[in-house]
Amino acid sequence: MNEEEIEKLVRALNDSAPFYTQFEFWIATVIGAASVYFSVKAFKEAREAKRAAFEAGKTVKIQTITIELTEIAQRLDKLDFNLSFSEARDLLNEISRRLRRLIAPFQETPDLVTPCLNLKNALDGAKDALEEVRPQNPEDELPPNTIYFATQGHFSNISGLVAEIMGLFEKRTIEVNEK
Amino acid sequence: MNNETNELMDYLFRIAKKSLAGEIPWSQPNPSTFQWIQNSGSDSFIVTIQKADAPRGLRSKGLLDISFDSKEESVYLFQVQDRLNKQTAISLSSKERPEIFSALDKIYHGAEKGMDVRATSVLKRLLDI
Repeated sequence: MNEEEIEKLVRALNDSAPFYTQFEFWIATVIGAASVYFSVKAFKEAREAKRAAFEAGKTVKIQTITIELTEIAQRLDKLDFNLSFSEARDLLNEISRRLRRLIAPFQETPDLVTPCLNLKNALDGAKDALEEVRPQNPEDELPPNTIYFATQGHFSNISGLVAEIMGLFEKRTIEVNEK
Repeated sequence: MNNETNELMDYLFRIAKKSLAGEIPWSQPNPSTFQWIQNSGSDSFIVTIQKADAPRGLRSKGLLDISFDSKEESVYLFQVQDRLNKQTAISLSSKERPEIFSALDKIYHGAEKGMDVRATSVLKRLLDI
């Protein structure tokens, strides 16, 4: 490019209007800005939807656990007055296994630490109480309510603690739904 | 306490005293229960005294008096059952009737000690042979 051509180019640039005064520039700018705005908005909404789906999944899981806890509490409340040792042992083994499995993921959760610990202690207490009435001779003629008397208080205590944990789960579900 | 309760307590303390002396042949069908089978003529009765621990938070002194406590406490159940027709003739629980707790506690400990007294006597006889 020679000197004359450069002068011509400089003159042409000086004579033409600045780019920002052109209508096309502003149309392109507005469209670009709107695209960025909607992209950011879409990203935020997608992130919010992902979080909501995760919380909904957690809520469904907690509701499933609550239903199972309700079933256990109902079984504990319908204790037979003529409960035999083997029936009490089987019931305690079953509810102990199910409850420990259900509360295991929540044992480190701050508001559930104490209720979970109390429940585990109550299960251990019931096991000890049952050991105290383990028959030494199957032919002994014991009153039919012997096992009931020894274990009813412990089963009732477990039922109360299960209800407490259910209440805390329900509170969590309400908190998630309110968000 | 009325006269009937006093009389009942008197009998319960007499059982406790005889138990402590080893005069009642208690047996132990399980770690928390003592049993005494008494035959008198055509009647035959099974007497049981059972001890249970009331778990924390469930201390009840009757249907309308439930208090919460952090310590475990023992409750006793004293029952007399007719051996023939299996009917329960007497059922006394210290949970429902706290006024008889001391009497039932004495019977339970009397049965425990009485078994030791009888065991000692048997061992003594064995060694004397």
